[in-house]
Amino acid sequence: MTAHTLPPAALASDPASRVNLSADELIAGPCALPFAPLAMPHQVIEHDIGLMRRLLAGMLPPAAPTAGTGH
Amino acid sequence: MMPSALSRAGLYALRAFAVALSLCAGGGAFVLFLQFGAADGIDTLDVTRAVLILISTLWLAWGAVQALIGLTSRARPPAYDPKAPIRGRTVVLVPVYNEDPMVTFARIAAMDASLAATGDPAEVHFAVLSDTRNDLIAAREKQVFAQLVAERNALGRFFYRRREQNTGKKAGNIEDFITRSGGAYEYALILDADSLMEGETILQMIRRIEAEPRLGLLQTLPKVIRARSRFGRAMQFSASFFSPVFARGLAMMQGHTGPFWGHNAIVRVRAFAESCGLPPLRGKPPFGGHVMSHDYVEAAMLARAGWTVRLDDDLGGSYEEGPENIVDHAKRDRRWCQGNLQHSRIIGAPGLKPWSRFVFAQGIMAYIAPLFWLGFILASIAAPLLAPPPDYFPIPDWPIPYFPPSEASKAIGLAIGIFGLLLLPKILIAARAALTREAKAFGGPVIAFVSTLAELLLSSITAPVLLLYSTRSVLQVLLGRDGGWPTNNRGDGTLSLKDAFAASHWIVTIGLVGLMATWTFAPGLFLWLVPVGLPMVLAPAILAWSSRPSRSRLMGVPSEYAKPAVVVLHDVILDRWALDAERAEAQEPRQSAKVAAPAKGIAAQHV
Repeated sequence: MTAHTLPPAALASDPASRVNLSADELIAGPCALPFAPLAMPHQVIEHDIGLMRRLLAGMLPPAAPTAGTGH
Repeated sequence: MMPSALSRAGLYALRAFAVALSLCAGGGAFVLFLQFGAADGIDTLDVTRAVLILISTLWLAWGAVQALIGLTSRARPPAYDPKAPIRGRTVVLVPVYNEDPMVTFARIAAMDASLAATGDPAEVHFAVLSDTRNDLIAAREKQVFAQLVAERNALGRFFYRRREQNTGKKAGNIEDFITRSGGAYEYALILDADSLMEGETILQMIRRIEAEPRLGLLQTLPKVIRARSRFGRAMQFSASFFSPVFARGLAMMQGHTGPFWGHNAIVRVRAFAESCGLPPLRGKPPFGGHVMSHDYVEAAMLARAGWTVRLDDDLGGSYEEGPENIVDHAKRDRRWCQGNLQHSRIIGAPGLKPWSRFVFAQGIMAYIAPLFWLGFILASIAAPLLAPPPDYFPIPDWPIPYFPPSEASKAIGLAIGIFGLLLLPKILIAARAALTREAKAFGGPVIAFVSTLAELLLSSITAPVLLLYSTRSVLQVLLGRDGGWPTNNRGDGTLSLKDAFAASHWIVTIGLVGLMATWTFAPGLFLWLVPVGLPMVLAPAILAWSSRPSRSRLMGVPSEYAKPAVVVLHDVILDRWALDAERAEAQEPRQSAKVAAPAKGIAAQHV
């Protein structure tokens, strides 16, 4: 588990903190989501080319090599 | 360890058996229909209809086989210590989107109270992930959230966040949480706004995922609760009485590639983060853009990465609510339809497990199957028009006419077979419930059996209407229309006849035209098609009638006979909050009139 910044548990037993905070303050402060980022890399969920083009590519003969530039 | 504990060979054999049995049923229907059509000579339309009936029967048989497999075994827990101390921290994710905050947050309070009642010291937090677009509801969310935190003494345990943009919809909402806060948690229990779970169930889910390091996702089988309308209670009964057997069949065949239904499931956060980042699909909606039915895809991605995805159907205490009328059901289905058809873009994704691809295919088939039935009906109406006139003198110069033998018995046999596939699984489930005393929780064997018959009758009446809604959804998606992300309607769903007519007048027209065309062009089919056409003509009445409150003793479910503890907690909390809101409104009418407005309806329903 990575480091994170959860509000201290002591807050829970502090009646004063409950009384004094407005809804907006709560949400911006102790009830804001903890900061503990985790990477979520995008996955490959579809082929680069569609099924029909892949089927066609499989059926057609490979393209002839192009001529060199002569160097 | 899989609950079904099947070896790999056994699993493959079971899957092969299920597919083979379904293919046999489909093949049998195909041959019977061809024999029926051969009576007056086979033409192209006969072959077309035989192929349509093959596909439709195959699909019906697949469902029936799943139920038959489910009937052969019992849900059992996996091997783990149900009292093991919980080490990892869990967050319960509650994504909300224009929901009534009071009802939704009261569920959180009920689940937290239920957890507290277990006395277990496990660290379980709750995070409300708001994608609400309506500012009035968002303001109300904040207010009720503050009340929730105060009431549950939950500073440091309850969190709230509202996104500026709801990019990626629910999947994007969860992804936003993981990338911002996922590192703080080992496990995340993903809920829907209408989900409710017993504290003990939550703890057992955590213990199970903690006991198996390769378990990436654990899905429960949520039961529908709180249904009030005739349609809603029929769905609730079906989900409680029949679905567990179908789910058992599914669980038997799942192996390591079980299902994810998007909610009432726990994930290992690290596995989810490294496997389930979903990029938008190329192109525009409905087939491109953000993945709509993300849950199936996430299950497939986890399995692809080597994680186990499992349905533990033995776990109780998992609940959700359902639509109260056919129109809301059709709206939800429109979204699911688009999501499932979108999977046609993902089914060929590299590296997927074959079973995951099969699950995608099943999802697509679930939505296009009605088109095959409709095609079969239309082809049958057209067949007499296109058929050549009967030739009573096929042999030249032979004076005695030849009358082709009637093959009506084949058609009747086919119809009986198809009705058998539809009815038999449910009848067998009722019979088993009577024999095993499970029916006691549904009002006893007699009431459970009559409820089964009533559900069959109601689902037969509503099926043609739902068939047309599904067909429209599929056609809309195929024509490129994006259904968007409409808010779920919850609560009282009673429809007036006027509203019902507005939602179904096109179905009435199709029913009338269909019946008239049958009477004109294929009168011999008229009686066969009346059970399909008549409900279409009566669609407004069916929609309105089925949305009315049900007062019947039939279709009772265990949660009605004995309310689950967490549902009782939810009721009590909601009643108290509604009362508080009414008092606040009475004291400060000017200030709170606007924000308390959503609570009034709730108070009327629940107090």
